[in-house]
Amino acid sequence: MSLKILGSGRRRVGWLIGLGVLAVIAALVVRGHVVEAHLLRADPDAIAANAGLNRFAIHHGAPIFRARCASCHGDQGRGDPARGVPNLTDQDWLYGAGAVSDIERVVDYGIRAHTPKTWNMAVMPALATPNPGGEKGLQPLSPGDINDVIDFLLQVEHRPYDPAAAARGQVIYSTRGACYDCHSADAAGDAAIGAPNLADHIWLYGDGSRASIFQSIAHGHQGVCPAWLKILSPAKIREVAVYVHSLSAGRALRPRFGD
Amino acid sequence: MAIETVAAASDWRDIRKVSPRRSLVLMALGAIIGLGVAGYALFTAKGTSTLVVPPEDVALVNQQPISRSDFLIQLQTLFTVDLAHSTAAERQKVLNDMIREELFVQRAKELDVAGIDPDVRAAMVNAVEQEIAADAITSRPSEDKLRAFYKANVARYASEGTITVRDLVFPAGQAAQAASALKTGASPDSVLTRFGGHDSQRTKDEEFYFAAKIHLGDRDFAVARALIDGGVSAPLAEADGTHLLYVIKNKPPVPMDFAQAREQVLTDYRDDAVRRLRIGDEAFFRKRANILIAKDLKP
Repeated sequence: MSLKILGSGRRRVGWLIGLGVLAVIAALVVRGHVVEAHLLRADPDAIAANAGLNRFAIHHGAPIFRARCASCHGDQGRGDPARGVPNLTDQDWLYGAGAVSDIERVVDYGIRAHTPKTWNMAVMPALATPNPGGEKGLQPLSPGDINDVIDFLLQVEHRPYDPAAAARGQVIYSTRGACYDCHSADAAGDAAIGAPNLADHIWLYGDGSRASIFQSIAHGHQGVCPAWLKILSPAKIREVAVYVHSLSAGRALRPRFGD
Repeated sequence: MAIETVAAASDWRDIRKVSPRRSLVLMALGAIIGLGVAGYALFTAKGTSTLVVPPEDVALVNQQPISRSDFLIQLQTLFTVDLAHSTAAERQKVLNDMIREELFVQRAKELDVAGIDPDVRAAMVNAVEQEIAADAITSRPSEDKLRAFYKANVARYASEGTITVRDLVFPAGQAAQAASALKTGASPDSVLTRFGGHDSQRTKDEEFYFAAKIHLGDRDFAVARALIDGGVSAPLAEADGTHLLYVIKNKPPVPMDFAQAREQVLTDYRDDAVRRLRIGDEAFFRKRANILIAKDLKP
């Protein structure tokens, strides 16, 4: 076909450059869609091993994180213990083991986000209220009881504690306080229900001082993370999950299935 | 001939002149773009039939997607295994289960199960309520809104007061003297011994206000709450004798500042937003619905 329709001389060059730019843009768009499709079809927990996919997802996930997640978790993802916002850059995962699939599930359905598949297995009861356990029939604790439990937790963390109070606190922890039910008998928590590890010196709320632990036990907590399933596309959710995973360098402390 | 060619080329470039060749090229270009858009829409747009399973899904059942993330969750739930550690048989089992579920859900819609099954109806009502609540959760309030909410409801945000109080019971006629002795600094145990009283044991050690209220009863708690450390109540006549409340330590509730109360403020704000959204949505549903009410039940 003749290029005469493009005119001649500088006009033709202009047309050719314009068409070239359009072709490049089209190629980039198509390539982006193709890589997104690869990203979505990939095993989420194997993406980190694929440098190209991982780089693509992190590159696209970072702006989504800044737009959607940074308002709570901070630009660097370091969270805020004053508000009970988890640090996403350490290796302590509240829900799951820090795998991309675990993170993606949180992004999809949120935490206590009132979606049918949201994480909502456990709530930290306010034990300084008349009816802390609701339908579970949990009874309130006295200030002395709470202080005893705090001494037990200090013992678990190998910090200075009162042995007599800690002994009483362990009994309360394992019986009428029902703390063991979520945090497990050894206080190591349970990532299957989002119960924090109480023995690792990482405090989701506050600084781990007696006063802040007292606040947590007395007033309870029920942190919330929105569900993004109906707001972000599956590709964007996968990208932001991979980005969050990259913030902690992908090192998980808790064992994965089958490990 | 050469003159005609020059003229034709000139017509092509000059938008004011009619050029059959230009028309033909533009028409072809338009047709190609139109076909491209139509083809793209045919295979991607919702509501149209497609033969391609989108990358975010593992299957389409009568065009209804089964999402990959749901598939992975189901795999973990059923076999406690992630994709990398799963076998082909496990994946097939999960996929078949999910397809079966989708088929039955679709059939349930055809049968209008919601019209007859109260459990389904209740689940649907609950699902819509949850959906409304989820919208409220997703929209994060600004700090200014939270502060305004805190200011408007500041009375809600205070620590729980604590009190250590002994409830001492004396025979009639002894309580006034016992109260005087306590006020002069005598220890409760020595006063009990001296005036033949006993501790009712209704309260023990330090208690939160709500617990002390339950243990002492509303009237006695109100009396105890008003006393300062070391304070002794006036004699309170009751069926089992005359009571004296001796307050060892009284820590009234302390108002929380915004920073201390922020988490509770956020929870309350969201609860309030959910409540308002639910009311608003119900009003909207009623407004757009065509509701006819029988004459005998009209308000």
